[in-house]
Amino acid sequence: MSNKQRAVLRNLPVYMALIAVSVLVLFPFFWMVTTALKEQTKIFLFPPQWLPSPVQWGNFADVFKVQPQFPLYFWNSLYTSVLVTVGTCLFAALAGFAFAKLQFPMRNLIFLVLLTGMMIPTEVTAIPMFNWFTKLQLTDTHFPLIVPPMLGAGGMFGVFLLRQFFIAVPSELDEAAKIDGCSPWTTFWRIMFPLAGPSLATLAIFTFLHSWDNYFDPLIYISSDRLFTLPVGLKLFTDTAGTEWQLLMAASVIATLPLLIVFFFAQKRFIEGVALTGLK
Amino acid sequence: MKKRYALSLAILLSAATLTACGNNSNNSSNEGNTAAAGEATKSEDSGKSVNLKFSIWGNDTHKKMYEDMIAKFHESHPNINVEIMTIPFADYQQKLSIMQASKTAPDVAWLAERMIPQFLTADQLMDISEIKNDTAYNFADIYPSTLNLLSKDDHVYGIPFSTPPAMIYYNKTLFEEKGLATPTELYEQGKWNYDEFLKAAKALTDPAKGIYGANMVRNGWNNWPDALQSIFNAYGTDFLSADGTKLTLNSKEGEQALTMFSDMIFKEKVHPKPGDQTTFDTGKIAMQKELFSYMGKAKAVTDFKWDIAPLPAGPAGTGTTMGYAGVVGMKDTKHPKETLEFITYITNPDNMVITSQFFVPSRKAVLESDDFLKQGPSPESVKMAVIDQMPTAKSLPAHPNWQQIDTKMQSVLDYLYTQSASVQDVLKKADTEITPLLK
Amino acid sequence: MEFADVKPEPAKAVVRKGKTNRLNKHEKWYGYLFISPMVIGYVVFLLIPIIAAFSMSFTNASLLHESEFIGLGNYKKAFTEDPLFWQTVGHTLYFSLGLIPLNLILALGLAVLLNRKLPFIGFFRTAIFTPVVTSIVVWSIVWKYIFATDNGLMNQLLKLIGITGPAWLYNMELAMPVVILVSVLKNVGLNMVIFLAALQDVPKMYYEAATIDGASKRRTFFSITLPMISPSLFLALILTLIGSLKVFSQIQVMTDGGPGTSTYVLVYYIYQQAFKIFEFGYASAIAFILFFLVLVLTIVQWNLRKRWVHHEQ
Repeated sequence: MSNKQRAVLRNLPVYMALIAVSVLVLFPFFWMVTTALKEQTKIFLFPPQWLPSPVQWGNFADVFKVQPQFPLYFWNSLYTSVLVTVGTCLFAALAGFAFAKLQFPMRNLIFLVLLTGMMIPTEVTAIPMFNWFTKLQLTDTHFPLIVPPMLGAGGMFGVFLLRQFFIAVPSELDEAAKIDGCSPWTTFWRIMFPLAGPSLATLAIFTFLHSWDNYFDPLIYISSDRLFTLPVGLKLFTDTAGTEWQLLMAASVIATLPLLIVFFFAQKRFIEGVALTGLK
Repeated sequence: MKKRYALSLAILLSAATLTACGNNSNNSSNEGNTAAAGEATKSEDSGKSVNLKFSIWGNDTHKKMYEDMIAKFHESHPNINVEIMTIPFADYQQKLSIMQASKTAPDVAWLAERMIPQFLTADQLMDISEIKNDTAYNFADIYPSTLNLLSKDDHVYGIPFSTPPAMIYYNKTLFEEKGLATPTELYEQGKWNYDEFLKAAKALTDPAKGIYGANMVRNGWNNWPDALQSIFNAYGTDFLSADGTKLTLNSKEGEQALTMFSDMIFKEKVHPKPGDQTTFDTGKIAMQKELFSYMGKAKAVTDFKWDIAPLPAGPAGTGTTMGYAGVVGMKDTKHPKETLEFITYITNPDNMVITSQFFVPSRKAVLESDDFLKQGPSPESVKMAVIDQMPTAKSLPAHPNWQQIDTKMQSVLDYLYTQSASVQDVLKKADTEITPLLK
Repeated sequence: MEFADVKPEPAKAVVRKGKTNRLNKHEKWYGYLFISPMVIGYVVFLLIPIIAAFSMSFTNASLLHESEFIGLGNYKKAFTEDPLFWQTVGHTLYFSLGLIPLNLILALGLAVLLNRKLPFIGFFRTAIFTPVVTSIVVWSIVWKYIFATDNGLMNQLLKLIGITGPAWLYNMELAMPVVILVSVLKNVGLNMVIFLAALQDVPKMYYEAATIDGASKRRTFFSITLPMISPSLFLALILTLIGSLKVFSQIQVMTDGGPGTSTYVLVYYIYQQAFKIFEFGYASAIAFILFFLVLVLTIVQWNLRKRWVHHEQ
């Protein structure tokens, strides 16, 4: 018996408990994929069919036939999330750097004021902003999905996170840069920004997840279905595809897969990021 | 440990970059904070060319049909471009209100019965009465009953293009297996009423096979007017009074109607339970209330034989309801002339023939044409279930405040669906919750 | 503790004169320039809207008509005239109080189980964290499918053992518990990871000392582990509580507030009032009540956390 096996056996109750929870948590994914590959007539068979037979790969193609806009939803989700992420990281890093490393009057006061923004629920500010965006004819555009999340509460969190990071960077570094004649911009862009990689990655992961998962904003702001993002598009699909669960599940798989793949490759970063910030 | 690693990395990196700094220190650095630009505003054509926006809630097939129609329209009206925008039905009214408030509303729009009063009472629809004078258009051919919702004081504010009466799709194979008289036969004998309907439903229900005798609900359980209004009508009551100021449902007739529906589900168990979405095409529903537009899906059925029949009659007749969609011009449009031209075009006799492949036409001539009759399982059943019902079919309830009434009624009915309250209590609750909204 | 003190480093920068001094003059402007996007964002997307929402809550503002000042009318309506408001508050608290103990206890239990060097432990950690990175809409749709009335998997499984399952999401008593369960499974991985990190930060010597003293495992857990990770516990408690007060997506997708109004929660009610029927004034009042709750909790969290951080040092 190998060491590994012995360790497993000795801790059998621990494993049983962990397996139980894991099964519960992973089951929806299994059921989603199974259903996505079933024939429509096999979906509600009793007793339930655990594995699809025959396997209907065609369901995935059918998603695009029934909902030809689906690739568009995907693209809308992707590009808005990327823009929000890039913008948040850049502006939060700039501000975080300034608050940590540059001297200017009222620096700490401004920082503290910005911090208060983190606790303002977007559900509250959404009401007047919705009113204004309507008047400015910005509803039914992607503007409200990109700019307010970038520079709103999420942005303030980013400032907080990156200021923490930059404070920990030894001041000898930026002193030296200063002496060498680097402007604050060069110091930031060439030295500090690359250094902040790990913190930025954490911030980027959170911002992207948050934006990718954003349901409330597109729900209230977007009217035309060509501008929908995935979450709203999927919800719409539940209304139009009705009982064709195999298509709905296939669409869900398509919507979930990219993020899961990224997660499995970068899971250390994800999990450490959460642990590091203890946020959300 | 991690910190030390980061620190050494930092020093290493700085050594490399600092030299670079020295060299470049004179470079003026570009600030990277170009704010993300919003949607580029569309420049308006300065020429004569006019762009119209046309909003629909239809699917891609409908869109495609309109695009072909628009292409032809463009040939005869080269200066008018029409862009179709699709807004899902569930949020259509709400989103159109938003666009109206932001002055980005479409020029031409589909409206369903439930949406019309809100926009009509707010005076946001364009008066298109001129259309009556167009002889080629043949306005008189449109069923007058379908025009009620879109008319006010002899003025016309829109043209209905889809007025499908509700009907029963039944699984003929199941009826044959049990040796029962079909709804069509019963109708021909003049015996097609709710008593017979229930009898058949009971005989056809087979829990072991998961077969339900009847299903009145289509498109989800929140779509209550669609499921219930024809039963209300059949029992001789309505949801609201004709002037829309009183809830008339809380009456003896209302109670009878709702009791019948409730008993079908919970007492006789011949009707799927709330939340159950079993559909007719699976063969597990013997009689399904549906609209004519379900024909496409029904025709894909290969496992069993089916036919259509009118709704059964109650004490006050069949109470047939119809789906309803019209096309309107928004009053705020900058191009009223072109808007009218476009509405006239897409609802003229020729084009209504084209739209009738999906939508039951409001024009008598089109409805009675051979092409339309051919769309059903047989011309006889189309005549029986559609054409004969058309003159008496009523549209579903509507009210300027419908959004709120609908939400309230949905949650009130849930007390029935979850068996948390009796039929009487549900109706009482409906009265107290909805009456304040009728002011 | 992962939260460094908020105090910035002292301004010891200017050691050398001359060149640096000249740069320092510009530094001020660079500072303002660098923070300007976020400051503008704060003013435009947070400060002004929150003030506007507050003032709107004293009007009958609507998208569809001109607004009028109505004083405390909306608050009066919420507290005394609108039974749905209190129901909504009740449902929100029900959700929070149902979710939090389940979530925290499960998360802590899992963290304790995972806090050991055993084969495959990483797999379980990843597995339980997976729902956290899954879209809430997808997660809710799949569970809605599993809990479907007649043909849903849950009821089919019950049927296999001869039980007729209830209409889970069409039952006034069961809908909220189902939503709670689904929400716990979605987010338990998040708190689990936070607790796991906290557990790994507990210095080994405490445990060694406890072993020498002959303390039982139970005792060690309650007198060493729990106090040591209490800052994380508390942080997770508050953040989970704030998050649960703002629950929306799973409700909107799974039950749409129903059946009846049995799953109407605060944000759903705000959504319905503000964005479905456009009653901005009343919606703002409800939103402000929510804001007030979140504010109080946040202040409690900040104050207590500070105390704990000091305690640690």
